[in-house]
Amino acid sequence: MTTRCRCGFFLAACLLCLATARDAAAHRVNVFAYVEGDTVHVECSYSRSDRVRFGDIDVQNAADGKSYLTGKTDEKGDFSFSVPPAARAAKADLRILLRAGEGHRNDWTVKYDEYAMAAPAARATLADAAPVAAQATPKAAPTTATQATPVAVPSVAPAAAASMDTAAFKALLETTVEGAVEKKIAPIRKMLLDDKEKGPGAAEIFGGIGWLVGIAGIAAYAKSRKSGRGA
Amino acid sequence: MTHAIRTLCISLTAVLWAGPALAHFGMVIPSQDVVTDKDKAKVDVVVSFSHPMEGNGMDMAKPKSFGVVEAGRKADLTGTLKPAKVMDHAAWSAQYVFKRPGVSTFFVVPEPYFEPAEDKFIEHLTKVVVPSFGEEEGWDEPVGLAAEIVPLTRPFGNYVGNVFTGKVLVDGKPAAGVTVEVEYYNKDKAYEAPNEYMTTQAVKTDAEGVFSYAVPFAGWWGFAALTEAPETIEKDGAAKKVERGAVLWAKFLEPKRKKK
Repeated sequence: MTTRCRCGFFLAACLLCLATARDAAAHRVNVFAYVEGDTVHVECSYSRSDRVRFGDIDVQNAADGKSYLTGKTDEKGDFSFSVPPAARAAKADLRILLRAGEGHRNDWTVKYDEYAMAAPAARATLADAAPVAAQATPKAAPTTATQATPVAVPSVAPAAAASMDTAAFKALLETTVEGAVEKKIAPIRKMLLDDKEKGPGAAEIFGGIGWLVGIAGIAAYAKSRKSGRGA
Repeated sequence: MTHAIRTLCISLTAVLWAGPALAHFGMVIPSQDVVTDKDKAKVDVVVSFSHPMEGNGMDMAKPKSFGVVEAGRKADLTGTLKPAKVMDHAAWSAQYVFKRPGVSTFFVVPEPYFEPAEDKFIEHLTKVVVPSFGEEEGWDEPVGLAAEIVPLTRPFGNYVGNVFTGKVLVDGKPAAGVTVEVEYYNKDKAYEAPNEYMTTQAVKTDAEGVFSYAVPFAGWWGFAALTEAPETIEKDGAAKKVERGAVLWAKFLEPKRKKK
């Protein structure tokens, strides 16, 4: 009787273990990272449909294990960071360590060569626009960019045209155009990576061209105003 | 003289009759069975039409379509095919760079090949599944070909000796009682079949269209479920039958032994 009881208890314990152990327990946890501009995007998952929510990330120098930064993945298992200047200076490979709880851990290495080509810190102000838009999902990204750009571009440009000298205006225009183009390109870049098969749709491409034409129009308008005043 | 002619006739008859021993296989063989390293993410996918165990090739016309499906997204890669040689015959090769974690199923729809010995066209719809960077979800998703083997055993990361199980679908429905020919890709002719029956192994699907095969030694193994297409193709004024094969390739590995 006692033996049977014990067996039963053991069996129940086993069943309980099986029941509580998530499917993920049988899986490896995956870390994958890619570089875009100055930003490293990290994706953490058990599988395509089972992401690592709020996993601990530690970005280290792969050579000596010195930690550059830490953070947590979002609910989609994503985490992004700018390449630490110290790492760039040391030409360090970055080890991205993921601790996903329940003893699941894995790491991924981003080699120096992979981010060395990317935008250096000097261009960070312009490049900043890209990572922000790129962090959103491919569907959300174009919306974010389209909403942000119309507010920024037309309001700045005419005001500047009225009060600035040509050189300053030219500089501002360049900055604005570059920023806008960067913003437009970021989601397309992300999409290219996401579904390399499809690439950007016609809507994105024509939308982008439309923006370039619009910005050129503003520039032409500003120029014509200026030359008109001079005559 | 008469004797010589008789011998020749017998030999020819033997060659013509030796159909089962010389099984045709659509082949799609990637240079890597899995992709785990970003530095080795460039994979050559070689497409051919051959007798894989005997190492005899056939010239293959440029496929009607070659593509990849990953997470339900289909991409046409036909344009990336370049001429290549497999077993000294015309074949095709494409380079593919894996950029993200995923499970990529490469598929080929060939131009039907007329086989005079069998007086029919052969069309092998061929697949291979390559996972990348740790992802493994999605290997059981059909591509949607007219005939295809949907794996029930994960078609990568298998040891030698594993039983491979798959389901044959014709027009999306399970196909019962279909013969599945199994052949080893005898690269460099490392092996020899002890007798003609050993070249091609055969199993059949059950009522649910399911078949199984226990893999005896390491390397790439091809499974070809042979069905007859409902349509015929006109050749020299006669309607010829079309053998529609659903082919899947998978690699089986020995474990590594630690050196002590």
